Amino acid sequence: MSNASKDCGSPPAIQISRLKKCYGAVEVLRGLDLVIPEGSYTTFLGPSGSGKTTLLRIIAGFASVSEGTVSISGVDVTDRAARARDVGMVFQNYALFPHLTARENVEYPLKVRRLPREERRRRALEYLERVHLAEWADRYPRELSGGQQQRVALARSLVYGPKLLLLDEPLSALDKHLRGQMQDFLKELQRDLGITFVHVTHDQSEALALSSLVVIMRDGRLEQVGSPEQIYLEPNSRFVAGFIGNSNIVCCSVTARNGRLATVKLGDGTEVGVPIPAGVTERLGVGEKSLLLLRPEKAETGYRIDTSVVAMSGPVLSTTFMGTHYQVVFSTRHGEITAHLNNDYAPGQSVDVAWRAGNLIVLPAG
Amino acid sequence: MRRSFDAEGWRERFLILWTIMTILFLLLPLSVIVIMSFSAGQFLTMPKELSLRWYQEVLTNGQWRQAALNSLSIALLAVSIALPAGLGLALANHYAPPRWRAFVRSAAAGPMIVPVIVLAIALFFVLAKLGVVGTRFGVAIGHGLLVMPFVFVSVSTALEYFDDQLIEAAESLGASRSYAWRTVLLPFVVPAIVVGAALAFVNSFDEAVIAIFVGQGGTLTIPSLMWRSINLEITPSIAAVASMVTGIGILIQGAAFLWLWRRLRVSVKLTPSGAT
Repeated sequence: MSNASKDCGSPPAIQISRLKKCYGAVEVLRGLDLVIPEGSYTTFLGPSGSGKTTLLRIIAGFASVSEGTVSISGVDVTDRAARARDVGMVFQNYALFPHLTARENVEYPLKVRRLPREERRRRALEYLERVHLAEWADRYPRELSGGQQQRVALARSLVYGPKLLLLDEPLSALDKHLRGQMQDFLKELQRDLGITFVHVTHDQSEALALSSLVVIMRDGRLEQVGSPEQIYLEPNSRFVAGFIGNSNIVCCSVTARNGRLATVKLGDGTEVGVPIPAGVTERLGVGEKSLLLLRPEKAETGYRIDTSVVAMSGPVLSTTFMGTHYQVVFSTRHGEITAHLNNDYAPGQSVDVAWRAGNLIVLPAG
Repeated sequence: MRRSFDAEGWRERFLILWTIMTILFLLLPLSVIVIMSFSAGQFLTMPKELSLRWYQEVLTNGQWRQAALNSLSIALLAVSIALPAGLGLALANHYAPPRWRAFVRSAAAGPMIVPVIVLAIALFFVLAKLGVVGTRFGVAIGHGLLVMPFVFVSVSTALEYFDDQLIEAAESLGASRSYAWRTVLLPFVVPAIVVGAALAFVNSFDEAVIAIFVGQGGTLTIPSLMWRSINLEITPSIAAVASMVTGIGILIQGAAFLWLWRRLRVSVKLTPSGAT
C-alpha cells in the first residue's frame, strides 16, 4: 500500500482509515475509509445526524477518534492537537474575535507564529484585499454584515498558508442571493489558491455546484463518494437518488441482464431496457425487485410509444410555475409523478409524459 | 374599558409612591448620619450649626488613620486573594462536566450563604491553628474568603455569554490553550473581573464581624474601630467616619460601573454606522 501511494506522487490531502467515533454507547461514525485528493473541493453532504460535522471536527482535531487513523498530507495526525495540524477552519457562526478589528482578527494566526509587526500587517491587508474587504479592515466584527464576517473568517484561516481548509456549513446563515455569490467566490478562491477545501453542507445543490468530489453520508457511514456527475447520474442507492435532486421512484423488477444493460418490467407490464449504474452491478440480479428513478427535469412530451421509453399519463393534480419551467404533479397507476414541463396544465387535465430509456436510472430496492 | 383605564392610572400612581417611599426608607438613615457628621456640637444629635470640626478631628487622629491604613491594606490583600480564587472557580464552573457544576457553584457561593458570624467563629479556630489570628494577614484571609463570591458570580455570569467556539477558532489558528485564554477569553472577562474586584474591595473595606473576631487591637479596621468607639463614647466623629466610608464605597463602585457602562456604550454606539 505504501509503495502504491508513493508511486502516485504526492500523498492525498486527507486519508481516513477504519475511522470510528463513539459517544458513550452511541456510534456516530461506523468505520469510514476515505481518501480526499490534494487540491480537490470536497463536500460532505448528508442530513443532520449523519456524522458529517463530527467527521470534520475529527479532521480539524477538535474531536478525538475512538478507532482508526487520520492522515493529512501523508502524516498521521490522529493524536495531534488541533494547533499542530496547520489546518484552516471556517466555523458556521464565523467565530471572529469580537474585541479585535477585522485586520487584527486576520493578524491573529500570524501573531501566534511570531511574525514581525510590519509583515503581519502587510499580509493581513493582502488577504483582506483578496476577500474584497480592504476598506473594512479597521471595523469590528459587530460592525460587519454576515457575508463580510464570513469573508474575514476566510481571510483569517487562509493568511498563514494552510494546505487544507475546512468549512463547517459556512453558507447556512446567509440569505439565498448572498449564498449564490459566496459559492462562486469560494469556488474561485479554491481554484486560485490550489489548496484542498473540505466543505460540510446539508444542501445538495450547494454540494453539486461547488465540488469536485461529493461524499454522501448517512447514519455515520459513507453512502457514496464520487464526482457530482457520478452522484447525480449514477446513484448507487435509493437514499442518494432521493437526496440528490427531486426524483420519482417507481417499483419494477429486472427480467433480463446483458452486461451494463438491464431489461426491467413495471407494474403495468411495460418493459424497457435501461443502463445499470456502475456502483450497483453486483446488487442487481435477474428477478429481483428494483426501483426505477425518473428525474422530473428529464420528462418529455410528444413522443412515440415503443420499447425505448417509459410513458406515464394521468390527470394533473397541481401545477406550479418555477420560472424556467412548470412543475406538474399528476396521478398515475404508479402513484403521484412530478414532471418539469414547458406548458401550463389545468388541474384535472390529462397529461402524457415519457422518459427516454437513456435517462432512466435503475437501483436495487432496499 | 374605562374602568381598566382608571385602574391603570391608580396603579401607576401607587408605583411612583411606593418607589419614593422605598428610596426614602433606604436613604433617610444615611442622610441623617451625613447631616449629623457636620455638627459643631459634642454629641451625636441633629446639628444646630454646621462645621467640619469632626472631619478634621478624625483625619488628624492617629487611631483613625491607623485604622484606615489597616482597612486599606486588608482590603487590597483580600482582593488579591479573592481574585485568583474566584476566577479559578468561575473557570472550573465553566469547564467542569455538567454534573460537577452544581458542586463547584455551591462551594463557591458557600461564603455568601453561611452566616457571617458562624464563618467568623470557624475562621478564628482555623486561623488560630495557623498562628495568624490578630494579624492583618489573618483578617485578609477571612475577608478574601468572604468576598470571593463577588468575583465568582460576576465572572461566571460573564462566561455564560462566552462563545467557546472562539477558543477552538484560536486553537485552529495555531494558538495553545493558554495563549487562547490569554488573548481571547481574558479580554472578554476583564470587565467582569473589574466589577467583581470593586465589589470585593468595598465589601472587605466595610466588613466588621470577621474584623472583630479575627482581628486585634493592632489590626483594627475602620468598621471595627467604629464598633469599639460606639461602645465607649458617642461623638459626631463616628458620623464623619461613616459618611467618608460610604462616600468611598459609592466612588469605587460608581467608578467601576461607569467604566463598564462607557465600554458598553462604545461598543453599542458603533453598531449602526457599520451595519449599512
